[in-house]
Amino acid sequence: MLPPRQPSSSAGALSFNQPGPSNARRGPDAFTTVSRGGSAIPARNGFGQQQQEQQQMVHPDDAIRQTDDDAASSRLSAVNAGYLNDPFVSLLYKSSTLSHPQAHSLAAGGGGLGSGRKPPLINVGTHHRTVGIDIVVDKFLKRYASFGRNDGDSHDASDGGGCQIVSLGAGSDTRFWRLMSRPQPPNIMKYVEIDFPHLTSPKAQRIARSKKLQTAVSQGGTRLDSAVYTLLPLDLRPTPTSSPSPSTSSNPSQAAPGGTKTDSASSNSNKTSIHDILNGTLLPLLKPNVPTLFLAECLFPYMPPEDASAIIGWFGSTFPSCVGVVYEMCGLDDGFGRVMRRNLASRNLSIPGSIFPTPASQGERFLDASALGEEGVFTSCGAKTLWQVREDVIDQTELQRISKLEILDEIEELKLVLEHYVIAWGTKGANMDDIGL
Amino acid sequence: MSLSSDLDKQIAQLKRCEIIPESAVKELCLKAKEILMEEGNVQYVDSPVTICGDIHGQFFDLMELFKIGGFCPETNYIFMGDFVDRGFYSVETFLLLLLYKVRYPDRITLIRGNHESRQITQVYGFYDECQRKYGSSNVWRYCCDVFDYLSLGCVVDGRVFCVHGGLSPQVGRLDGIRVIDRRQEVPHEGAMCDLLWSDPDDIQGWGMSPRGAGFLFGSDVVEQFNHNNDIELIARAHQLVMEGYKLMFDRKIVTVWSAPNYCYRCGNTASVLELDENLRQEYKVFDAAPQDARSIPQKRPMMHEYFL
Repeated sequence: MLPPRQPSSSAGALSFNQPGPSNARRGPDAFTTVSRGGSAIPARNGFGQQQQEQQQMVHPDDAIRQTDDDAASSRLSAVNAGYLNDPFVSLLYKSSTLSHPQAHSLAAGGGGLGSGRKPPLINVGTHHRTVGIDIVVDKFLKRYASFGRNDGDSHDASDGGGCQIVSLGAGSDTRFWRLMSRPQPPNIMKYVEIDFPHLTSPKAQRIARSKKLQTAVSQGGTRLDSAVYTLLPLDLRPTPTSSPSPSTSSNPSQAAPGGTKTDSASSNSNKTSIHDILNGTLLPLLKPNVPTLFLAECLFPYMPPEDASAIIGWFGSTFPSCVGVVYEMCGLDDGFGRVMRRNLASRNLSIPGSIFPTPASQGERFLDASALGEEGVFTSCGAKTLWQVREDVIDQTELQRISKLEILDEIEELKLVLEHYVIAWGTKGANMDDIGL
Repeated sequence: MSLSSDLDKQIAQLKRCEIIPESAVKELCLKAKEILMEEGNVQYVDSPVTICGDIHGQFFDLMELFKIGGFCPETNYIFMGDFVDRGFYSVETFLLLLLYKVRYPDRITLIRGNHESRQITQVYGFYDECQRKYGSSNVWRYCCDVFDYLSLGCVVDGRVFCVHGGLSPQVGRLDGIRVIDRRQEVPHEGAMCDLLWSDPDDIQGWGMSPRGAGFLFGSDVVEQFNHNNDIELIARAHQLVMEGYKLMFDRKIVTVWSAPNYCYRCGNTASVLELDENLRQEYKVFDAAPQDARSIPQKRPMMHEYFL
């Protein structure tokens, strides 16, 4: 089942607040690059021209949705190739390959890699990313798995025990189901997934239609919005800061209070509005006194840096005991980074929030009081590149196992790519500072 | 069978990045096999010569290479393998090089890389590209048959040994390479596999390769090999180097990499190594061709893959 298209009425508006695309990444600027007609990142040469030609044929939202399939399709590919074990990915994500005429002709070739299969490098990186983040989350869960647990309905939120997880820009992520299908599910009081309304809607439908997915959700209740799991349609974007002709009125989400903003006022008022959004929609689902972990996989790069700081700062100031886990690209000041920005721009994606030159600086964003505010700041942090995860963290036997799945022809290239992705974390509160990689 | 004028027409066509008909490919491959069959596992080459590393189907970057290095036959070339896979124009790249080989057999030497293999090309794009451009796997099969006849290495003036990957613990002397029966798919182990897969590394002796094929070899191994074979330099490709080339082990081995902005993603520069008649080395570095609508086609498999 493919995500439903935007109705044609909203397609004409091309508003800044029109929900961007899909799963774990995207963000406002993913779309505003289109709307701003290349003011953020100018189209390049004939390549840009080609893009424009494509845009005439493909609705821009579709174009972005296509690129934003990356994480889920990579995950599905890695699962199919045997890198990861995830029985839920095929339930929550259906490849949109067949919906694209281009892809048709590619798939027609048959043989070789086949249409849905990713190159080995992508499968390997997806494996390392998943294993790395899993380890951090597991350390957090281990610490709080039995916190406040009783023998009866251990997931009853009224216990006041356990922990909370918020997945920002969750998309088609399967983590909740993977955790809850364990022989001994962790004691998670609340698991909230947040994404744009037009993405949560197909996910909700898929969950509702799948017994397997329902089973996990219903461990804490029978409805989709169960005691444990909530899928929250939410647009975290504050209103645009430099829009030539915004049409905020067409925004269907509840997330954009106020009208347009001026550039000069943007930083502070963005923070205010993001905090308002989170206080109004997310906070009522959570308990501030419960240890809380939030995840942001490839989310912040697509936002202005101050918006990302506002979100991190909100978690820091709201939860005395908190872990933040960020996964995103890093160190883009070199040739690889320049090419990445250029390539993403050709797909109408800009990454204004990718401003961290080193893995260490990615971690230290959690300690930056000037950006997060005194109350929002975390107390310890760390970061590892995916290459470091490969070298230092992943079990040798696991590396040997996956090395036999496919022929990896090029180690230098793998290193180059993996060194540009970082898992960073910040913690605050007692007994938290050893949670990390 | 092919007249020079036919070949020249086909060369002109491919230089425009236009493919030739399947029947022409079939004939070209047969002719190429006849020529390659006569070449040794280690071919002798005279200086001056220009040595090139991996190309990987980046056709428009190959044109950049010819612009800075001179076109064939004015410039004498050695290509150290990995003509295909990864890039968008493996077909055009390999067929053009093969046409040069048939048209000017003494002005271009083609060495086999680890990607000139049935197994690898099915994973890394050449197979898919042939299917896409010709509607069947015939051209892929013709080309793979040619791969089996490519030399495993060459020696310039008896002093510079060129090979795609590196050395093998089973081969201490060049004569050891000459006895290999090379007309086969690249094996998973053994001397032929090692020559195409191994990498130099800052170790002593031999080590396990993280690639899962071939070995890592240290400076002492290179020292010994060069001494035993009266070689002053090993030129090899096979590894991405951001600066285009990398000398190691007291300049006794060099990696030459000729695919700029590898995979349209890595942001690296590329190089070729020019050896003059005195075997003096000059490295010419170059960047990717301007990225325009032609260098990256509308159908772009495996393009710009990131972890997003």
